[in-house]
Amino acid sequence: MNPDRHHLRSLAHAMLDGTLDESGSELLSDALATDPALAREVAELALLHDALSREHSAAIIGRNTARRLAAWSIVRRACAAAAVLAVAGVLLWTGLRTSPTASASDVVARLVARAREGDRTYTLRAVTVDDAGGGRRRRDAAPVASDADSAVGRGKQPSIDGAILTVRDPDRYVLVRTDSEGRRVISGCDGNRAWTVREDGTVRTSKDLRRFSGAVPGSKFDLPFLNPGDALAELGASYDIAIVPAAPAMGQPWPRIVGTRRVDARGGPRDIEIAYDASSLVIRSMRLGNLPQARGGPRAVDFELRDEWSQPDSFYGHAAHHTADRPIIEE
Amino acid sequence: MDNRTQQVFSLWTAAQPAVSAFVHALVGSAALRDEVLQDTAVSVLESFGSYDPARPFLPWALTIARRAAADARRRGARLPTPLSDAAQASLVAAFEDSRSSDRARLDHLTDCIQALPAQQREVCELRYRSDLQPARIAELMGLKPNTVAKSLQRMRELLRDCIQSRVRAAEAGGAR
Repeated sequence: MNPDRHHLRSLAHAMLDGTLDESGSELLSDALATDPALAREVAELALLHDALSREHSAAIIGRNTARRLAAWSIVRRACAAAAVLAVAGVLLWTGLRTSPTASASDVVARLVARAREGDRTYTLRAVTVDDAGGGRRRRDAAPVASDADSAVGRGKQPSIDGAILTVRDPDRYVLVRTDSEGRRVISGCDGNRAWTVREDGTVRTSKDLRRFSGAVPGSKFDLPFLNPGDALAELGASYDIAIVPAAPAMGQPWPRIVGTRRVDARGGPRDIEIAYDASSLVIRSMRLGNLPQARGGPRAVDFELRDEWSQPDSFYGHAAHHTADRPIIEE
Repeated sequence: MDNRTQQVFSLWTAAQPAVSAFVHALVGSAALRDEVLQDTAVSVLESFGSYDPARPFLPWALTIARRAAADARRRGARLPTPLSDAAQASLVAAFEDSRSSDRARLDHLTDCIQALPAQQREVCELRYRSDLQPARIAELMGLKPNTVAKSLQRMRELLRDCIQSRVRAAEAGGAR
């Protein structure tokens, strides 16, 4: 049976919206391959679709340019999305102290000024479907290796799914991952040196504090743990943010800060969602959603608060994570 | 800027709207479009030495864009179900046939967006300003995904009709 023109047009629209399924794709492909008039129609539709996207992008760029020129250079504006990922890192460090009625911009302003305190440990989950209610998780969602991470890994990269991340401001973190054969790979930074320890290999250390941070979600988009003030200021510039009240009946026990990346901001997650406890004033969970997919990696990463136990300073040094007889390579 | 660089920039500038539209259709989201388009631009620059100036530039650039989209898919990018090679080739030919005057018709787009009914304009904003997929728009608006999909199709058809009528009006005005 030949599909009618009306149905083929619907398939073309579905293609533009990224919702074309396999059977629809076959039907549309067959029709396009043999019907130049339909191909021309779809090409015109695609031009309209793309122009619509750019039209809205241009409007936002114009608005933001006016707003930001006083404070930010053109170069920094172009890097806005990368910088906003720093917000994610900073939020993990800082905890959130705010009243439930504060506006999103108030929250951001307080975060910029907020003194950081304590240790927080999060469990990381890689998510394949951006569905806050029931995202499917996958166990093979290793991030794309950064240069630094490649030096650490041999063979398949350890997954961030199930990884444990402990953080303390400033510049201290420990990330524990497991590779496909069940061996632990631990990387971290004690504020003076970055390091990585493989269960069956050498210990590497570096004075470059970001040397082994490639596995931390967001770091490949230049997530800096070093300069949080600038990054926090970029949150309002790069994302449309709002506070969503808690809705226990809907499975949302915590109020959330929800941010959608503006069209002119490039390279970071499209959505950021931060759930916080208004009484204990800590971040309960965070999602970096709709991560850029052109180079693979998970669709989204969830950070779920595991505990707030204080760690000794030595926890952030490599020596706490291996026996004393292990060879150490200073880079 | 040397002659060769000037030439490639000139050709790329003219071709870019069609290449962008083609890539956008293949990858389904503006964010991915921008990444693939960037890869395409780099490849065009790098391989410009192999371009035969006697042949049209747009199909050559579109072929590179097809490869860039396929590379993104191989790297693990979440792209929509791909069209067949024959269908993509047919689209390349269709874009080649589209005249710059077709693209100039889109000058009426801004006015036509303003003329959309309120709900269509809201769907349009969510889809294009926020680059949201229909399922997410449905969630936000409390509608069924299928309803949003139909609304998006209707919105684009309204815009196409509006643009066509304005072009006709402008041509009639020019003829008088």
